[in-house]
Amino acid sequence: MEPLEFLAQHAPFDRLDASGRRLLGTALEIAYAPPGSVVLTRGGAVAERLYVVRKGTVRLERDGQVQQVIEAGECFGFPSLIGRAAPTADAVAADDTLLYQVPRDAFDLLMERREFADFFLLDLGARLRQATAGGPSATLGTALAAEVGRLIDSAPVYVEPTRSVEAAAALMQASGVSALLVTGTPLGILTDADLRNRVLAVGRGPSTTVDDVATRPVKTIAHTATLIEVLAFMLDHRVHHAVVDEGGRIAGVLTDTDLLRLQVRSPLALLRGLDRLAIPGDLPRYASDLAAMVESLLWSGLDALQIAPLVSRMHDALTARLIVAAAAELGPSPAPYAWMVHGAEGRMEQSLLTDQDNALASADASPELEGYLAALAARVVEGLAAAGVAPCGGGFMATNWRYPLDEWVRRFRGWQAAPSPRALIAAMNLFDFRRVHGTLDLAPLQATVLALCREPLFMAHLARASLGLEPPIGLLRQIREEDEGVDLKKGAIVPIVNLARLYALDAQAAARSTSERLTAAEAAGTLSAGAASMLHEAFRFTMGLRLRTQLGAVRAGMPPTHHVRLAALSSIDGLHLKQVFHEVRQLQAATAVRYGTDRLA
Amino acid sequence: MGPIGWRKRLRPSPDWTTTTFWAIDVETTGLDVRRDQILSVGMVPIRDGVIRYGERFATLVRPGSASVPTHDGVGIHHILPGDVASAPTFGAVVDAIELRLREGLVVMHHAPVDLAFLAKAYRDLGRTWPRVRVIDTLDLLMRLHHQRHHFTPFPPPLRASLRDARAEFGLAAHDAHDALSDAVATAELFLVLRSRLGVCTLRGLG
Repeated sequence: MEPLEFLAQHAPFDRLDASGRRLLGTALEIAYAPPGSVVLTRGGAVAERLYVVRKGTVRLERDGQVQQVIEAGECFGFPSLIGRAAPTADAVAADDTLLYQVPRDAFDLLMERREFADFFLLDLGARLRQATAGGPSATLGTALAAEVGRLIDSAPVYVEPTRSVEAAAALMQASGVSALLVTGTPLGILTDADLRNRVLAVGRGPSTTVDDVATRPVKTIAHTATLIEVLAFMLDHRVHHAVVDEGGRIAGVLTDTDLLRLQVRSPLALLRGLDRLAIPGDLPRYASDLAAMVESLLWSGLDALQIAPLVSRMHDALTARLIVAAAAELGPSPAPYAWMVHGAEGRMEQSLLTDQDNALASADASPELEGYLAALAARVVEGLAAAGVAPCGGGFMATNWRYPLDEWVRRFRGWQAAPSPRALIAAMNLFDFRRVHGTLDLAPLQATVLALCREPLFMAHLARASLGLEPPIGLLRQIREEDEGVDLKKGAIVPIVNLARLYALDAQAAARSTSERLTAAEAAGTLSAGAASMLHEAFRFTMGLRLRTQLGAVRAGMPPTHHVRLAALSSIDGLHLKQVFHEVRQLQAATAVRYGTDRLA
Repeated sequence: MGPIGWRKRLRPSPDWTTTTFWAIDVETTGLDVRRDQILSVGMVPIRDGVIRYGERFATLVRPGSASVPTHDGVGIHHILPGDVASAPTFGAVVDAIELRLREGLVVMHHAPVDLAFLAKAYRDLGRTWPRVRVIDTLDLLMRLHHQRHHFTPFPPPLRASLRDARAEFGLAAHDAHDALSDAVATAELFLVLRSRLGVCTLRGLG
């Protein structure tokens, strides 16, 4: 691969325009660093160039301690280069390393470009915010590029200009398309409207050649365009077809019907559909309808944290619908009860891949009520499973988790006396409870949780359990990838959720969602503003990354998972993920010290 | 050998870095130096021990009327007759090439073939090849191979192609048989081999 091609695939060079790339091309240097050689010395000479690892690995070391590992496609030396200060770490080649170098003069000129400069100047929180907030960021561009590709169902169909319109019409019919691309330079297009308006309506015969009525040159839209831009393109040019160009190659033809198909999958339409859902006949459709809705919401510019509560509301509505259907058979409940959800569902942070986390609280211990609720739970849990919400592997479901409210309170209090690791995992899950259906007031349960969290010893146990999962960072501080990829849930999402819960409960906050908890913890002063902001953006980023990956899997007909493959990530996403892991790990270490988890037996 | 040893041993030597090297590669219509002709030339300089990619020089060359790209050649370098139809002749670019060659030393991989073509092209113009000093990365590779396997009773065969030699040092596959890519690939290989041989002086480079 040519040096400039390689750089164009990696941040921040991927956002340079043609003139920026030309500038890079006039200044680029290539250097070789043998294993063990020192490229930059801590406290030594100021870096006079930006270094990009082409091949090999560079370690940033301080007193022999590895601070960071720079891998292919990543930059180093810029703090010294920008700040004109001595490097704060040694940069040592770990193996045979090829470096691409951008000397200071060219670097300074590139830094006059906002998109390029932001990469080096913003801190992680700000960078993640920018990457996930929309706007012309590389992350979003890449995501939407993939989405445009997925919107296109099939490869374009071509016709030669010398063919007759009769043959062209037959080809359209046979291929099931409403537009053909006309070969030749420049490329042309022939649509069904052309056959009507330029052939039939003006009395031309079937032997008219394609060339006589086709439109040339065809207008194309870049594959990086957003859904809104495609719509605007069609309206502006008064066309029903948009030819999508992917770096000089025609990826396919989008029609206005393709776009319409996306729009009907709105949350409101799905919610209305749920009311009319036939049970159990329509349940299997639920998962794919939900995935389609999430996809169109993502398209319309909402981020994962905005979409997750909508998904939870769909699940709530489905649960309520199943309970009402069960009650239609079982009759009304003999006494008040509450259908609770906990875990991600309680926090309203569900992704596409979700399993059941539910429980029942009853007003009293009468056998009559218990029998009723057992039958209710069996039906609802079965209905949810039929709709694609898998039964919980840990058995945290209403079919076994069914107690009178005072028994729940007693069990919650019991965790203070005997905080075994197993009990604390259940506690963390249940602390996120939320009532979805029923009339029983759960305020006593919430009061019990807050009372528990006023005990320092319990908080130390809770802290230790909250730190049970760590980001997968290796000894050399690179991301460790398992066979299935990197587990975003265990590696980042759960650690962040647990930290937010811990600090919010320490602040005696009743908030449930991770975002609200971080805000509450920051307001109460249990968490610093910087840490709260970092966790918030890291959470938004990893939730977004997981959602996009899961949608990709669903569209490809594969089961969604919590794993991403590092190789499948765009360069900037990979970089952000690595930094998220580092920062979360650091906060975990600080948290352990703060709550004194080392003093526990 | 620990990191300290490497650092000490590989401290940049003023000797070899003070010279400019131009890595050069040519693509031709075939392998018969009497009949075939140069189709493209790629060059990139090494100054202060660093490849100055920004100063790269590459040109297509239109062969004389007697010769057109043969079918065999096209399969290798993907240069079609139409590509070179509007390219300058060797005579039009020879000064630009020679200006660079005369700046210092020349680096080539498996020099004899390319040298023969260049000398022939010079002769066809009625000029003399400037007889610059050439460093052949293949020679350096053989030296390293010999050092490594001095005491190996049955040494493994030397893998001599530019691609294989690079692969031996973990260098990525490049766009082979594009003159500029090959020149850059040769320059990178040169930097690795010089370091591996521990050679710091021009004399040491042979």
